[in-house]
Order: sequence, then C-alpha cells, then structure tokens
Amino acid sequence: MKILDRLEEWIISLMLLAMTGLTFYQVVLRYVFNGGLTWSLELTGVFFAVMIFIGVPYGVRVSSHIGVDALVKLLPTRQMRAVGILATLLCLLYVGFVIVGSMEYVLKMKQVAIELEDLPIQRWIILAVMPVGMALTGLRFLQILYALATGRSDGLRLADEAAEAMHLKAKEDTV
Amino acid sequence: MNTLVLFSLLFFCMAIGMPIAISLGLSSIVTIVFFSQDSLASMTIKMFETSEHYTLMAIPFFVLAGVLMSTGGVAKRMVNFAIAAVGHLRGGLAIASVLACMLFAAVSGSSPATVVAIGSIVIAGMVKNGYPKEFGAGVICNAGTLGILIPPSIVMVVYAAITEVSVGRIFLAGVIPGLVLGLMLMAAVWWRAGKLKTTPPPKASKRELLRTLRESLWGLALLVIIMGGIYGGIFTPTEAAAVSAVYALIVAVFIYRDLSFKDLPHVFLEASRTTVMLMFIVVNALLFAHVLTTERIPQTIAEHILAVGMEPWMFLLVVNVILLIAGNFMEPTGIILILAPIFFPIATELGIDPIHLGIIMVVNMEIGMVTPPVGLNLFVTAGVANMTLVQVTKAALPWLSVLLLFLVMVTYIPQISLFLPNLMMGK
Repeated sequence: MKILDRLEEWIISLMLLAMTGLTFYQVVLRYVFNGGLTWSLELTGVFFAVMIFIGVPYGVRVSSHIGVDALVKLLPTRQMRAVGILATLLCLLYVGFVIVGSMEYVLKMKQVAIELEDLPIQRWIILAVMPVGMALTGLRFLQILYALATGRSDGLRLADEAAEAMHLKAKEDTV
Repeated sequence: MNTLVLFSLLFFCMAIGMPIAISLGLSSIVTIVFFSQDSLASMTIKMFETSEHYTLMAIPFFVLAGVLMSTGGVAKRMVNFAIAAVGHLRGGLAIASVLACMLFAAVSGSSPATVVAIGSIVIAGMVKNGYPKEFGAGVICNAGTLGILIPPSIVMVVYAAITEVSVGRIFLAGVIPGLVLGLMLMAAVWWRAGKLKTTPPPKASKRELLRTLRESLWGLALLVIIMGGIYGGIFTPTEAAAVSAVYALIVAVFIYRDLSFKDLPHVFLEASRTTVMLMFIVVNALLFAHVLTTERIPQTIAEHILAVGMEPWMFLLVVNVILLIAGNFMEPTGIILILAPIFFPIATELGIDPIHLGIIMVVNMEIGMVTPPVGLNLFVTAGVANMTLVQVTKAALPWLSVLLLFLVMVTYIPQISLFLPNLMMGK
C-alpha cells in the first residue's frame, strides 16, 4: 500500500512538471528558434489525463475532494455513520458505472487500433488510464467503507479547504 | 421528469455528503442511462475529452504559479510597498492592507490564499498600532475576496471553459471591477477610521517607496507577463499560465530565495492536489452540462422566462438571489460549474453579454465567501486572526455592505465590466 501511495504522488507531481515544462518549451521554441513541435499539445493532453485520473484516488485518500457536509454534521454519530456508508456505496456505484463505460470504450478502441493524431501511440493505451484510475478510486472507497463499517471512522472525511490553508500556513511558519 | 430526476439526485447526493464531483457525475450518468439512448461508453468519452480541453490546461499552471507565490515572501514585500505608499493616510494600515490584497490578487487566483498570505502579516500589525482586532479581520476578510476578481482567476478560467468565452476577455473584464471594489473598500476604511484613535506611521520617503516598489516588482511582473502576453498576442492564455508558473518558480527559488530545491516536490504535489480536486469536478460538471443540453433544460427555462415577459434586469435580479443563496452553501467552482450552463443560454437569449454575466457570477461568489455557514474566507480569517467564527462573521458584516453595493453596481452598469475588454479587443 505504501508503495502505491508514493507512486500516486510521484506520478501526479511529475505529470504537472512535464505539462508545465512542455508547454513552456513550446513557447521558447516558437520565439527563440522559430519552430514548434506538432505533437506537444497532444502529449500535454495525455499528461493532463494521467494526472487527473491517477490523481482522483489520491484525492480520495487524502480527502481533498470537496463536498457539502454541513447537513451531515448535524446528525448524531450513529446516523452520521449510516449516512456515510450510504454515501460511500453510492460513490462505489459511480465508480462502477465509469469502469464499465470506459472499459467498453477501451476495448472498442483496441479492436480498431487507432493511433493518436500526432504520436505513434495506440489510443486505447492512453484511454486505459481511466478504468485504471477508477479501479484505484474504488479501492480507496472500499477502504473508507471498511473504516466506517468497523466504526473506525464517522464519515467520508471531505476536504476542509480552510483548515488546509491554515495547515499550510502553519507549516510555513515552522520552516 | 428527467429534469426532476437529475436535480433531485444531485441534491440528494450532495446533502448526504458525497463529493460534489461524484454527485454531479452520478446524477448525470443515472439520468442518461435510464432516460436516453446514449451509452455509458459515450459518457465516459465525454469525461475523458475534458483532459484534451485546451482552455482547462491553464488551471494546473495557474494553480502552480499561485502555490509558488504563496509559499514565498511575495506577500511580505507587497505589504511593505503598500504601507510605504498609503500607510500615512487616516486608517493607513488598513488601507494599505486592502492595497496589499489587490496586489496579491494579481499574482494569485484564489481568495482564501489571499487572506492567508496578507492577513497573517497585517492583522497583527494593525492590532499593534491600536486598531481593534475586529476592524482588521473584517477588512482583510472582505478585501481578500478580490483574489478571484482581479486576474488571474481560477474561477474565471472555469467559467470561460464551460461557457466557451475567451479567457483573455474575462480576465480583462475583471480589472476595472477589481480596482473599483478595492477603492470602495479603501474609502469605507478611511471613513470608518475617523472614529479610531490610531496614529498612522509617518509618510515614507520617496527612497523608501522606490525601494519597496523595486522589491515587490518581481512578484508584480507576473501579472504583466500574463496580461501583456495574452493581449500582445504573444501567447495564448494557456501558454501564459505555463510561462507564469515557470517565472514564479524562478522568482521563488533564484531571486527571492524563499524556496529551496528540496521544497519543490512538496510544492508540485500541493499544486497537483488542488488541480485534481478542481479538475475532477470539472470532468463531471461537463457531463452534467451535457445532460442539461441534451435535455434542453436551459432552453425550456429560457422559453418560460421569455413567455412571461421577464425583462433582463429582472432575470439578473433572480440570478443574483439564486447565486447569493447558493454561495452560502457551496464553494465557487462548484456553483459556477452547475449554474453557468443554466444561466448562460438564458442570458444570451435576453441579450446579456456572457462576459458581464461571468463578472456578476464572480462577484456573487466573493460575497458567498464572507457569509456563513460555508464562507471560506471567514474560516481562514478566523484562523489567521485567532478569533471565533462568530466574531469574524460579525466583524465582516459592516464591510459586506460595500460588497453588496458593488454587486448592484456591477449588475446594472455593464460598462464597468465590459468597457476594458471592448476597448482592447473590440466588440
């Protein structure tokens, strides 16, 4: 699990680095060398896709996906946990839908074997990041479900942006 | 019927505390699966295509630039300059805080980040100079909302992407409103400071002013790069965002030296996390928007509105009321993504400029950030000022009237928003 955690973090950080670098490089090429890369935009899109879909399970793990928890917080603990279980199950339902839909599409693409427009990569390979990311997301929700069912957690633990901003500040002050 | 299913599912999912992104996605998918011929596979294609959306690629870059600028001492230098420039006036420190918020808003696309960066420096300073804490907290809480009005603004990028208007245009449209609101807040501070017994610091010498300006110039140049680059036709908004991220990195690491190389992995992860959170909402919101379009929901509402003879000014009033209510419960990106696809076609029918509508929505979001129960700026201000949420809410209230007055102005005087983009980019 630890390895998977670190891997997610490295992948999304590197994708951001690569996107920024590539787009910047493209601007430099255009102005300094009067040239350009035809494939850079498409590749940036690929990086973006990997970042988003591998980032989603990471976001579930560190609870950075925001939601409205004002209502749920009014409930007593027992009901809160029950609602949390329902919410997690519905999240898993969503994950299921997306996995089925994207797998269908990936298999279709694999059959017709289309390549990306400007890069010699089979399109289905890139698309596969979607079911993979969603499967990992499902795994994370199962972990949450387990914690809820065994009484180790009371809710979905959604992101608290304000707390996070403060946390950042605190960290900065201690540096 | 479909509409009812779509919206009741959405509200149910959000009410039981599911992430906004999944609430949007699940309600859209269920509606599609049960009420239309579209296949599940075609839905997932729609989701994947979001990552190929050129405008949206600006989001990770702006987020990265913002994180780099926030962790550094950029804010500190801007505060120094603001104090040197206007600190000697009546209520000078508070006026300088508003100015510092305006300057920081020009390098950051987020409001809470602006409050944290500027507030954590100036509130203590104001208290030391004899200002009541409530005064400082109230001013910062409201002035910090400028973060999403003064470009660059992530909320505006999201609006531009979902309504397909130009990022350059809406950024430009935010400039005059940002300046006007800043000046209005400063005037209100000046007026209310008459009752305070504070002695402003002595007027800074010209040399001091120039020195502080020079120090903060590296940060301020970010806005020049973005705006100059876009309007000079040098690069697209997305490229401008990438260039500003690289520039921010160079400034933070090599010029200000606020960050070292070993901090960078953390910075990138931080920016990725925020980006993914935003983008996952966008991915699902575009699905939601797709369902709205195929079900012709906005068009139906528009027809009704036109049939009962609703005038544009009445429609805008309704828009404001809905947004103000929504703003109390949700955060800006979510609201823009859910409501813009509904309002946008109606506004177009009524002859309202989509850029104008965008600015109205952004100003409403600002107000939502300083009103409970979900007011991000309130939470953050409570944190930096060491006050309770109730205290901050009370402290922010008098200044909120300035924001509301400003909302009325922006809503009914379209020229405030449209003058600059029309002047620079044609109609």
